[in-house]
Amino acid sequence: MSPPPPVAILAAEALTALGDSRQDTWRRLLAGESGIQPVGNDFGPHASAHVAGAIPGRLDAVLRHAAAAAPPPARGATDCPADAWRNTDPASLAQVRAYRMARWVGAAALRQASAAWDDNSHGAAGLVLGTCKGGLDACTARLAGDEGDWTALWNPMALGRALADTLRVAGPVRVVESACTTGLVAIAAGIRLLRSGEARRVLVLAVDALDEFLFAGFASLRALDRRPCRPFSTDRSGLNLGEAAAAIVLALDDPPPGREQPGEPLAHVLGYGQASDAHHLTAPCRTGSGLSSAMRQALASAGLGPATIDAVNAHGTGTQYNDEMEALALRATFASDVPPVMSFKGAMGHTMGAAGLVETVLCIEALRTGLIAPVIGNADNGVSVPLPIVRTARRAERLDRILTLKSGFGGVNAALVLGRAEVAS
Amino acid sequence: MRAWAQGIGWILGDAAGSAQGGRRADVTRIARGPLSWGDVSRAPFPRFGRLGLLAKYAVAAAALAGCRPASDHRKTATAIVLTTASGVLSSDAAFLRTLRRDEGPSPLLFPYSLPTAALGEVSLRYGFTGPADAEYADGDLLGSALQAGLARLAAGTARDVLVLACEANDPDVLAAFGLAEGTHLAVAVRLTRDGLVESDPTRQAARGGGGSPTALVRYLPGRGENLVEAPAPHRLPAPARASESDKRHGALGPEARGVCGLAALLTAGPPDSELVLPTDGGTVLVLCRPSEAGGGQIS
Repeated sequence: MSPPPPVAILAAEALTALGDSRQDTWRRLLAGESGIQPVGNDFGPHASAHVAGAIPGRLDAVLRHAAAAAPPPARGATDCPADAWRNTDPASLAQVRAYRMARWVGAAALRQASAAWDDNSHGAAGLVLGTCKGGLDACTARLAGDEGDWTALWNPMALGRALADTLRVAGPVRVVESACTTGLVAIAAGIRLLRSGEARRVLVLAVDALDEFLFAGFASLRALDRRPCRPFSTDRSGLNLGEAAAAIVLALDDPPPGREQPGEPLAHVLGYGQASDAHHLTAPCRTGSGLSSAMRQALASAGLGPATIDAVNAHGTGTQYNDEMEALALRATFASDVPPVMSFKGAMGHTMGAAGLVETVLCIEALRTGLIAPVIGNADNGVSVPLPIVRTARRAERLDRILTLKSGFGGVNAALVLGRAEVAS
Repeated sequence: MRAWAQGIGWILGDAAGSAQGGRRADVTRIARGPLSWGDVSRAPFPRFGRLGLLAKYAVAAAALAGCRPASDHRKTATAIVLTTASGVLSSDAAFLRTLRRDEGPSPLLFPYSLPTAALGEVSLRYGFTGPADAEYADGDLLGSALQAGLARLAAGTARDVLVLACEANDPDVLAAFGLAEGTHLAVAVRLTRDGLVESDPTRQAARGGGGSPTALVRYLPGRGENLVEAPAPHRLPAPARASESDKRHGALGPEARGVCGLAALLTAGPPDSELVLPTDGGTVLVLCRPSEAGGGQIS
């Protein structure tokens, strides 16, 4: 059976601890900079001794640009609900950082894709939101007895609906959660909407914002490193948290007869795969079998072999178990020919549910520029498999396809194959 | 897209139901209050009491749907989809309370602050190594869950999928958000892709038996034009009815209504009718007469 046709990525945007746009983040990543900083008392007592990829200091300044946060003019949304056109957010929404961040990147991505995003009506445009704890600050406030009107944000689905309203997307809304694989799973959900015919364009968003809850939780698991994390290094001792939002716009590259072509893509999604460890609730399978299964599925769905992959964007959290597991899974898939390995968490922290999509956006920049970025914080190869870890930015001999990987709580694993705009499977 | 339901289990208020192999469903009463593993299975599960609330209901409903504990040598690539509206609010609240106490944040509670923990417990218990993810939904929870499961099968990423629709949160937590107290409910449906199941009893016997499917499940995409008119409301058998307590609290929301309808179909004998569940993007039909529903063939 031939693989399904690639899916075009028409727009991409990211807001991270490193930068206010995908290009800004990519430029600083190539320069070897890091957005990991001490967080002080911004996120409660459990965070005070930690560092993280936080963006509270400049978040207000970035989001204050009202024009930048506005979606493009809507066209065609004749069957949009009556309340879908409101331009101002309820007061409660405006206090939810995840909502503000997601709205900002979503609007920016829609502006990039405005030529192709010409019909917001039901059946034309869909929205997928991926988040682990988006809107958690609303939950925290309400459960702490805050009397504000939080009812509208009592679960992530409400956050997804609010974003669809504000961004004027009238079609199907999906909200997915799959721990650290959430961003990649959101892309897969968007592809399903396209291929089932439920939408012709899909805005995929992923967001997670830092909160006392998250610092306390990961600290209780002893998963945090108080120093900037060191993925794949011998002395690695845990992850740094981060916050980010990202957005992409997807369309079928090969639309049905009579439908318009999607426009000039930035890159393609060639294939994806998911698998579970069935091993432990929070620890990865020591053999990496779940992740290697996800990689095999992703390659098979793209109709590709391992030798066609030019670089890997590893999960690379900086924890002992994850990095070792990932190394074993890479060896199981690529044998002794593992492609150059990039990991971005040393520069902006582990952005949880946003990680998959944020790092996908950075991989798109890699494919567009032909450059691969260094693993910030890495000093040596501290895993049992010799990995070609990228330590300085450089131009790749060939950079047509990148495999990006994520694993998370619950034993979930996901892999995605991205292709340069000019390259199909 | 259509698929065969190989087993269906549900918990709704003080009733638990199990339908497998084309038989009428077994429905039993369970004690109100905290869910006990002994109410749904005789197989040992010492860790059950430590699971988060959502995970408890998901694992229990899967057992009622016929999922069997895994051994290391018997893992399957079954996918899991969990759909929920209120998610893990109770686990969030429980963890938040530990932050305010002297003992500090609990490492036992934090992992259950994601719906993925419920997926992880199900995959651990039953040895499912396929894709697993959770979706939030509003409206008809069961319809959304079945639609999500069918979409996974249509995408070709799995041959079998365990579909879970779960709502399990403490009333005081829901009340904090101004939400009506809801009943705890969980539905698990083991779906197998069409073409992989022998639904004809004669041909099934010729092939040496095997479990016959419980129901045919279909999805019709497209809002409006394909929405089949719902049949007259099914009369609920007594055990599957919401309790007086649930009704008093206005508990029979859209998600519970779907479960009640499914329970009614499966307990009322060989039904002629179908259950119609509208979803965000289309219509899910649960047809409960597999042998007359077009027949699946083993490929």
